[in-house]
Amino acid sequence: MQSCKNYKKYFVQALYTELDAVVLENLQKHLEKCTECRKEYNQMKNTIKQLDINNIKDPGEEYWDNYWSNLENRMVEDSIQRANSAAQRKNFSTHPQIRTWTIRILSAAAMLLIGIGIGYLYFGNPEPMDQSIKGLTPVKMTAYPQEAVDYLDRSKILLLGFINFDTDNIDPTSMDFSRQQQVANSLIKQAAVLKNDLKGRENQRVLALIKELEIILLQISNYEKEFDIPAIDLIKSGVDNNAIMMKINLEEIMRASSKDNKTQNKDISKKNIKEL
Amino acid sequence: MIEAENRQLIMRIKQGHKEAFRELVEIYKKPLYYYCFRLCRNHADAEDLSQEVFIKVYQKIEQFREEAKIQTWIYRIASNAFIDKKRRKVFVISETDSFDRDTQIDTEVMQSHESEITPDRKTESSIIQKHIDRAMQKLSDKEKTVFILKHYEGLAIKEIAAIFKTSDGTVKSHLFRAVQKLQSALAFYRSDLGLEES
Repeated sequence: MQSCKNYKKYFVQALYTELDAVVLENLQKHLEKCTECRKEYNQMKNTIKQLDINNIKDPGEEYWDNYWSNLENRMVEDSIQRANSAAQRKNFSTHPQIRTWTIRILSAAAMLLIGIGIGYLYFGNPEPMDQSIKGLTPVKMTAYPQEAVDYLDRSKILLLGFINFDTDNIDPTSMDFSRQQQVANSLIKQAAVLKNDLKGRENQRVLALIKELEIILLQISNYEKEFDIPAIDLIKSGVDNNAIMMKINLEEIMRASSKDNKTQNKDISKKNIKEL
Repeated sequence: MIEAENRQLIMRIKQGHKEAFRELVEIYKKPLYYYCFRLCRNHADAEDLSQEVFIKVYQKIEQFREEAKIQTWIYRIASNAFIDKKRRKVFVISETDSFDRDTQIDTEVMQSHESEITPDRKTESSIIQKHIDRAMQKLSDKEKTVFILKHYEGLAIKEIAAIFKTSDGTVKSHLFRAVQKLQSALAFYRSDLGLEES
């Protein structure tokens, strides 16, 4: 005698009439005796009966009439699509020229992109100043007093006279520096005033230059002997060693460029005002 | 007789006669479409799937072994194509969408459970179908295809086993589980209809 569990596994086969006659007979006998199994079997039977509904809406005669032509069109499309993709694969893999040219074009495009990237990196997007450079005080053009400008001009002219003085070829008896000494004295006095006027962080450079000039001017002022060639050479070497002339020239250049910028800015402002 | 005619037809298709293929399409277009419709539950996907199956039949006809039934072979291609499409989610309308399109009917169904059973047979039929569709969603793809092939297409368990290249026992197991799930899902409705036996 089989248990209920063993009979239950035949329910579906029995309902779909796929059960062996002998097994079916045994199952029917069991169902007559076992209320629980009979209930479950009948529930399953009702479910299958309920599922018998065939609710499919037919697409209609027209659809069926056109079915073959629609299918044929799709088959043509499908074969064209497959042929194209196969040809593309074949072309790329079998034609070395196409493959080579594709690789070349891709390489060129890659190089171009790298070039653009590098260009943008260096020229397109200027990076902030390097930290080590950033630490330095930038050259700042501040307008110092006109007296300082005059002082530098006069000192330059005075020193040029000494620099260009050829001690080897000129007759020493003709050497009279009294006029230069007066100018030097005058400049020394002016330097004392200027040093007070230029006290401030922005005038450090020109102040340093004035101090260097002061030493040389003192040497000129203290020139006593009429034919003291070594003293003149000392003055000349002092100018050379401290690059005094270069520093004076540099100051002139910076002053000139500052003037240009100011003039340009004024012109732009005027233009903007006019446009407005 | 039919099988002998089919063999001749297959032979002609293999020889490259397109007209023979057209004959095969004419024979199987409706059963295949209905099977596809039962699987997809909407016309667009059913049409797409059935056409795809016929194209595969034409392309793979050389692989068809003549000792098998052509119908079994077509069902195998359709079932595998359906399971593959479901896995890749390439159907135009998902099953859930197709069921949820007619929410009005669903609302009517729920109301009818609470009150009285709808007298109109046609409406009732569509309501029952909605319930069946919902219940079918609870089945796995394999259980669903096995159940449809057995219940609606009337194939023998042996034939279904041949389609899925599996044993009769596996098919019986899928079928049993499918019916149990459907029974559970439709229990409330049978109760309303008075189909429950005490």
